[in-house]
Amino acid sequence: MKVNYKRLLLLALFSLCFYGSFFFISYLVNPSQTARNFAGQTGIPLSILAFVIESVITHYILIFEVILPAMRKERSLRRIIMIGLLFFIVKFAFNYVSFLIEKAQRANDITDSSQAILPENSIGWVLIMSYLFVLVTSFSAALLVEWVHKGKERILLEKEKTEAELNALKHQINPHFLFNSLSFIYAKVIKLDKETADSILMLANIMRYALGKSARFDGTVNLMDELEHMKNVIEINQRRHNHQLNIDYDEQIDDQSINIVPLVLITLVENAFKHGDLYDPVHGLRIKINTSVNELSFDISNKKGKGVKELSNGIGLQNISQQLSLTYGNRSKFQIEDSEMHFSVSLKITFPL
Amino acid sequence: MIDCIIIDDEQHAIDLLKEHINHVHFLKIVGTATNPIEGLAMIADLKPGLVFLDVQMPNLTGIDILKLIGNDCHVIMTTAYKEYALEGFEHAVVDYLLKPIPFLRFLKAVNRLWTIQNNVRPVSDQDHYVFVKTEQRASF
Repeated sequence: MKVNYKRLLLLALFSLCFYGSFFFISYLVNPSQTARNFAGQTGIPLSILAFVIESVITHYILIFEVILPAMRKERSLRRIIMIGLLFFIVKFAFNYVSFLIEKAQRANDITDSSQAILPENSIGWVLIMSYLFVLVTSFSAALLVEWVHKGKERILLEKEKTEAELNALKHQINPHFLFNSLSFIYAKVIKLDKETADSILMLANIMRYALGKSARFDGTVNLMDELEHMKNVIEINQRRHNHQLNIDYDEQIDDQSINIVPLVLITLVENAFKHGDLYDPVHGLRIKINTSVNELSFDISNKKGKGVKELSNGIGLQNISQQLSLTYGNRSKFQIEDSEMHFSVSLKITFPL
Repeated sequence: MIDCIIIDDEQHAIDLLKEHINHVHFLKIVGTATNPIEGLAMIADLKPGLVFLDVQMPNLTGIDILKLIGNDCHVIMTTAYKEYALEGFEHAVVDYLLKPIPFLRFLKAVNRLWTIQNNVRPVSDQDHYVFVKTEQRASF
């Protein structure tokens, strides 16, 4: 049996709290009797230890060997019931024997008043009640564990799904067909219209990057490549709108060697093109990017558009934030500000030196 | 002057390269072929100084042709999409160009060849060592 020590430690802590609260309640009701009762024959530290060990073993077996396997259907129901029954029989035998031993010890000790000890016929009921209680707590703990586990699994699944979709998309586009066609149009157009020909080159570059094999071994790309791609996207959008868009782009690159997760910045820019009103002469689209030795900051804000012109492709903000936290953990800060008129995103990544 | 041959199964790609070549004074087209096998014969006959070679072609790919002609002439590969297989041939060719080919990128590739041919060796090709005369008296 593989034992997870983190779980054991957590259960021990939980049992200790439990013991403490019992003690506290008992103390409130009857302070003078409490210390004596809890100490038993062995003294308080030993009885705490015994209680914690018993409680940890009980809960561990119930949660991780009985209830969770039953919930996940990892074991057959018959085996689970067998394990559970066997466990309770052993536990009962142990509890009953220790009760008998304690009783015998107290009988020897004549000076001690025997009022603290329970009559023999009620001990069975007390034990059964305590078992029911243990069952209920184990069950709720198991539910909690399962809920957290499911949440983690769902995030992972969603990420895998988007990755699979992206890959399917890449496979659907035959790059040879695409670039040969673009080359054909480029050859036809270059003698007639220089600007159109240039735009075709730009589109080819954008597609080449998006279909890209430019990622490094760890899945990141050089920031300068990403920015060049971003400027291509901005430029082609400007051309599409006759250079009427109000776009304020500002970069201050002090470290060109920074590598980042690809297409994050681009997605933010594309979002702004999709959902923003970039014709506004006062506040259109503002992009600001700064890098220093170990830090990258990227701020983007736009005025919100009235009607959404293009459909969202689903690879949205939630995905970005997920991807960032998976790659950078708490070294990345991703903040979204969504007011009535404006939408802005601020991203900061710190790189280890 | 460098004599050029263009081999590409798509005529528009040949047209584009012709257009680019016409703007460069030291290049002259001596033949073009949309059939790679014809192109191979043309290389043997005309012995050009430079071949523009497409990678993806039916019957005979640009990689096959590259293997067959060996070191007889300089080659610039042209391709729509960078393939993994191409990486291995990086050193055997002068350059490779991705379609659609912008004129400036084209110019960079042919200029490289022109400087090599005229013995204006680029810095990176020069010998990487210098002799240093030293006199040292060992005293331990």
